[in-house]
Amino acid sequence: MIGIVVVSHSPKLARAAVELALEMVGVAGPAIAIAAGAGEGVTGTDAFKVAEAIAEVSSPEGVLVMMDLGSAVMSAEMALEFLEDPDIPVRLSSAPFVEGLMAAVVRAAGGATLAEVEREARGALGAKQSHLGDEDPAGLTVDTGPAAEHTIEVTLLNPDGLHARPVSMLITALSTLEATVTVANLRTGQAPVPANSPTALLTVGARKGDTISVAAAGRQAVEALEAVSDLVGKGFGELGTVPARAPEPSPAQPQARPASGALSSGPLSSGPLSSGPLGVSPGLAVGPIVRMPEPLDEPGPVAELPVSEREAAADRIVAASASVALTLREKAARVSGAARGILDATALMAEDPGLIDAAVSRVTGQGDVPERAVWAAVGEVAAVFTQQGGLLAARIPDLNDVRNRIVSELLGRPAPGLPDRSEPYVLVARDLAPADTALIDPAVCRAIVTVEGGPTSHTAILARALGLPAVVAVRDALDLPEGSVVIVDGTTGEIVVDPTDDQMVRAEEQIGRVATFDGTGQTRDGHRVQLLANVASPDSVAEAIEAKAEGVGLFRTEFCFLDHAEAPGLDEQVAAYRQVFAAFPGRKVTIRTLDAGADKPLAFVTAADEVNPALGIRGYRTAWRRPELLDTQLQAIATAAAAEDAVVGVMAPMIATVDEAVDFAARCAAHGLHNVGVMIETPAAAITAGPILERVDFASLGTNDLAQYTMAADRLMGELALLNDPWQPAVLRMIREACQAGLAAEKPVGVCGEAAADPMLAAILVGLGATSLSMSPRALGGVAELLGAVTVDQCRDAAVAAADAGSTGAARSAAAALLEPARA
Amino acid sequence: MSERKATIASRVGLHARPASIFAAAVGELPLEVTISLETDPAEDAMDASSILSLMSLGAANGDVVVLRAEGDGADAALDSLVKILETDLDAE
Repeated sequence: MIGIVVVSHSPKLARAAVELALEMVGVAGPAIAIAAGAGEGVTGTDAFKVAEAIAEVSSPEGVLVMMDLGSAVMSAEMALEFLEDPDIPVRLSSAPFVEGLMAAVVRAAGGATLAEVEREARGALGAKQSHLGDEDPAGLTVDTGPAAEHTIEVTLLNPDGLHARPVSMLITALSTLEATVTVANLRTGQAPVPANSPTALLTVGARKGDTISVAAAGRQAVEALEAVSDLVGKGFGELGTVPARAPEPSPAQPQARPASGALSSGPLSSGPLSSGPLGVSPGLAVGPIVRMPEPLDEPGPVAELPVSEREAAADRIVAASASVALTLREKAARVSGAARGILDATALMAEDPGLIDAAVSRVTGQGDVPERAVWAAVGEVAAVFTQQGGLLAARIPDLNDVRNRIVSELLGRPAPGLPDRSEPYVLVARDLAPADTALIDPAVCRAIVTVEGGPTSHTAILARALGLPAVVAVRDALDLPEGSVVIVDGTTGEIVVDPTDDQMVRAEEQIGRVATFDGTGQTRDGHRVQLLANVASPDSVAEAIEAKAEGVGLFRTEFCFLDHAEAPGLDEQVAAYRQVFAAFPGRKVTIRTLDAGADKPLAFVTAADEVNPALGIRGYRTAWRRPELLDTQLQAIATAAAAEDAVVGVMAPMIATVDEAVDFAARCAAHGLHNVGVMIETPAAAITAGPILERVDFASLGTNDLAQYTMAADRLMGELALLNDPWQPAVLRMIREACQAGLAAEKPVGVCGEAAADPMLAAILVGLGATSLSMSPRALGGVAELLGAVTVDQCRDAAVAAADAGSTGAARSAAAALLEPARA
Repeated sequence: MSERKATIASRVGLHARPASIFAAAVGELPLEVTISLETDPAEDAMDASSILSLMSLGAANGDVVVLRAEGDGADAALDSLVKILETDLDAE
């Protein structure tokens, strides 16, 4: 593969152009080196840098040099004289900078020769010229090869037609085949263009629904046409992203479409490695865009401060640090809990005496300007933190936050981090750091849109916790102008920029309508699914009743045990359980016995020294060590149940074997408890759900732990969040295994994990065979509404598609498409 | 020079929240207080009012640290600081 050197006056321009070009080819692009700027942060070009860049990417196949303008060309020419290896062919390209670079990168990635790449790059303006109707577009005079031997006609299915990414896929697919292929758009009637040229293919202007004629000659002509037909038939892999885009308008139900914004369907809005905009937290919101300030770059080197100015400069550091600390303390005073702790600690870091001393001595000693001194001083601390690793390394983002705040203060720029607003807004950011998200006020921040992130990213988890609509992976979100009004749909991932009055009215109507639950969970065609509440203590009962929960699907009993040095006595437990049972006379209340260990350590049952607590003595296993605790608890449950009218079921957490289920059922029976079940949280229990259900009356799936154990991914590690997703097809198959066992045994199998609270996933769970769903009360309305809009067959079809999908993204997309009428 | 030993009680060690509570307490004293691990030599002691120093000390739950201070009221001040370190601040 040839190498490519990018010469520009501006490092930022060069980086952005390269980034754009690489989006076209993914990871397998050619080696690219940038020679940009004249050093020391000065705009310009430098022949030595160009020569170095050429040496860096040189390959026997040659190096192509792309330049922006003016002296870049001169620098590049001069660089040729400095080259160490005269045998490497190097060409300077007269191609347009952005288009040419993109064309060159795509062609080079396909293995083309230096001459071919250079010619392609030079013709790269063709697409734009042809589109705008300029005369004599360059680059289209490429030979279309010998007369075609085979021809097919195919219709484009993907939403954006033959845009940049499909073009790149097409060229890559054809690059290994011995065939000359041409493509013509039957709608426009223009002459065929060679299919190995990205710029030429882009001029075909083929849109969704257009039929293209593809002709091929050569030894592998048939294979080539099959490859094209396959790609087109699969919509270039873009069909799965349809639900994330604007729905097709239909006469019966006019739908909002992205108005004019960058987000509608620009060919560059979805790179080959991304799945496009993704709704990750349901709901609809309207508001003006407020952007997170862009992150700071390291301040460039400037001249040493004269000794006479150093003292004043040092004082500025002290003042800036004090001011930042004060701001942080003021913010801390406005919040509570964990957020306050984070901010207080950050304030202390901002005026840390060691840090300030180090920065000040850089100014007074070596004449650094204050912003560079602070940057470097923080860098030294960060290096120590990195070296120590673990918890300390995890604080580096906080440290960098402090650095950015002080440096911004010194530079007189807006403080990085969450904008301070009192009017409602939609937050647009590249990505959100935990320190930012801790401060989001759902009363003013109405929705979150980020460039980065996925369904289980920090942003997504936080947005769901706050009940804020969120859309992630919106690649061009930062192009949206500050202040423009957007409608954000966190369910479909759709963002409407500058909506029409009609769209606004409709959106506001929809926002005003709160999803409520009428107390009977069922699908549109009357398939009953009990919708229950998770209750963590007697205090949360009122919320469950308010939300019209049909009962309690998971009554956690840990509250009784927390903050106790020793287990609570019988009477204390009876009183606590009775409070919850009393609230649901005649209704189902499923109580879970003590679930301690791992992330819920309790001094009297869990050992502090387990190497791997998630795989240790936890859940039902704690009863091995302290069987009397379980007996006391079962006695308390039996006594409380006898005193109240609730239909009480009792279940054990973390069952892994049939024997454990048998043992638990026997202990329950000894206390006179007869409606006995187990939690299915381990793959072992899911797979043996059949024999387990022969011994107990019901089962309840704990999806969080089931995901953790199925995927072998620690729930508490943010880095593994993508694996810890209940949408993972492997997890869905585990759930299916358990639900099917329930259907076969005619015994109820419910779900009481986080998964049940995601309306779309709730429908999948119903499709997989879950008979009840238990969730936090606030989720009941949304789940009931979606279930009420779909048929059970739709749920089943969506469940099959999701469980058979190859990835979480594909599972979500497939489910969204099959449950689509629910959203109409 | 007064000197006290303290055993870190916080489960996570002298980390973010415990460190910030401790640094703030030291910062309010009219004394210079240093901290070092029991196993480290006295000359490696760090400024105990610096949260970053406290964090990079890497004192884990159960580790013994040495606090040192000089001047009026040093003994009483160190006693109060020992009390903070020997409380499980995460549990509160």
